[in-house]
Amino acid sequence: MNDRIKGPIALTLICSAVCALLAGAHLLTDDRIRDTEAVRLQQALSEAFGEGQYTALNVKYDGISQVIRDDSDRLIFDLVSSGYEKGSQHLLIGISDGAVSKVHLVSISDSPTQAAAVSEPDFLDQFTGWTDPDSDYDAVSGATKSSEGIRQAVARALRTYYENREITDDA
Amino acid sequence: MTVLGIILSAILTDNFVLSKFMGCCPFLGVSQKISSSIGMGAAVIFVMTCSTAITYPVYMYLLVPNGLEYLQTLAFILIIALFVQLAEMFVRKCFPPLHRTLGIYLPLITTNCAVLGVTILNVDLFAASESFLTGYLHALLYAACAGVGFTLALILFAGVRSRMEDADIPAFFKGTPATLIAASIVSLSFMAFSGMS
Amino acid sequence: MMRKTKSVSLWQEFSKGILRENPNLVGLLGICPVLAITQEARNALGMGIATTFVLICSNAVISMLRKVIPQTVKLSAYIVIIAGFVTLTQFLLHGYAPELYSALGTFLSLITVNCIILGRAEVFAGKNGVFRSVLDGAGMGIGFTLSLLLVSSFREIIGSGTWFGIPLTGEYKVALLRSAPGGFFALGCIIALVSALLRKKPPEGIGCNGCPNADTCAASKGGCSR
Repeated sequence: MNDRIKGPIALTLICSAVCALLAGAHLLTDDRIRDTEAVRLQQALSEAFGEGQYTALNVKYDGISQVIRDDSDRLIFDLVSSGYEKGSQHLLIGISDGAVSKVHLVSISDSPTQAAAVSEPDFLDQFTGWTDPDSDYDAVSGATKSSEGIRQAVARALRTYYENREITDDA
Repeated sequence: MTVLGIILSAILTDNFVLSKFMGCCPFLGVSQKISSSIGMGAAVIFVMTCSTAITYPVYMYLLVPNGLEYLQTLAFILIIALFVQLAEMFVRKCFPPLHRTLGIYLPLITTNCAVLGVTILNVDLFAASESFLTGYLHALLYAACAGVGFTLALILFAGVRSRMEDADIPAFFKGTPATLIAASIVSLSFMAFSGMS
Repeated sequence: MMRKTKSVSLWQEFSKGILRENPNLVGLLGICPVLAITQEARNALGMGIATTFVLICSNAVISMLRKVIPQTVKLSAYIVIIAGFVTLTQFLLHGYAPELYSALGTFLSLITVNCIILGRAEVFAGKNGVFRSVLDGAGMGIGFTLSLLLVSSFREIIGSGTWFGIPLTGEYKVALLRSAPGGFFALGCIIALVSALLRKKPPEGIGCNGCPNADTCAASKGGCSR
């Protein structure tokens, strides 16, 4: 009788100890993790849209991670789209004056050949100037799903933009 | 992801063993005979589906609301380990013939990358679904299909290995290296499916 | 009960894991990451270091607690401890090496079920002192990292024409090595190579020696499901 409860009790104790230690470690590293993520985002923004002041807007839309406004009043949509795997593409899409100004691929974890194919400026530039989310586009052959993931991201950004015009008038 | 998409990708285009590289250890060790492959496969399907059935709601209703997502790895593997132990005891006591064909593989599955892998992927893929129920059902389907894909790869491979026994292979390639190179060819053939999407 | 004399020197305890008893190339444990994370040498090295860190820490703690953990929950307790260190590693990488964190993805969590770690816990740390367990963990970890480096260098140099990101052969490359079949192929070649170097026959299949499930397998008919 004694032996049979010794096991589960020991296991529970070990679990609790580990959980407590992890909670402590989490508290210690959480700030650092947030800072690192913020720095990475800033770097991606600078790379895509140039140096400048970027402020995240306090809005939440379905399928959009965050909306950022830059100092020339452009809006940038930070979102995650799915190529060959869910959430494999992280994009920043700039929209100004009602049209797409730039599509920047922050990171993509589709397989290397597909990733390389859709990272080409020739492919991404075709979305510049888009106003209609349902425009035709040219996918890269052999990388259809990756291409489609990016197209869906652009469409989603455009739709969210049009459905929420008030954010462009936001002071 | 559509239902058909889930089924096809889990079994063919994104096969857990041949594409994602999860669950390789038993893939190399167990697949000597087709009968043991089927037994192992059945056990894997069972454990994957049941583990998902438990871990998915635990994640959605216990970890996320309390901001404890970081405990995911610990919680999931503990659930899997405890479930497998209980399942093995249950099968041994209540279904002895089943235990001989399937039960002996159960302890091996606790440390199988594919099982922990599928529970984590399910949460990544479906946690953002419209409702808990849709996500849950999709997750269960994905888990079952992943198991089927695993079994498929295992059986195919057992067939390939049995043919290889008679082949003339240079000394230092005999055994595992030859097995791995054969695996690369099977994997290559599965790559052809990615055009199907 | 007779006390076993310490016939294995400390140096041997450490060095055995590097080549002679390399957990990956000789013991065939922990194959999954060697196939999945070896497209680029840089990521493979990161994976190796992360795994070695977890291995050393878990070996140490399990060795410290070896007399206290009851037999019945041994495996589960080991798993909990290993999972704890893996989660800690996740925090550290996310905060201090975010690129490596993204590159490893799910496989960082999967270090938890790396047979090498659980295997060494069961076979060694559960039965030996802390210092020796740390040496054992370090040696096995270095051996594992070595295997990762060999396979990833092979894949990166021939598959992408670079090494650690430094362009080497440029245009001449066999792109197939970067994809799934390439992983299997590369590992097969490396194992054959190492077997030739060690003048041993290549391993037949998953060895029972290091396998964490050896006890359970042996209990059932036929053992090791062969």
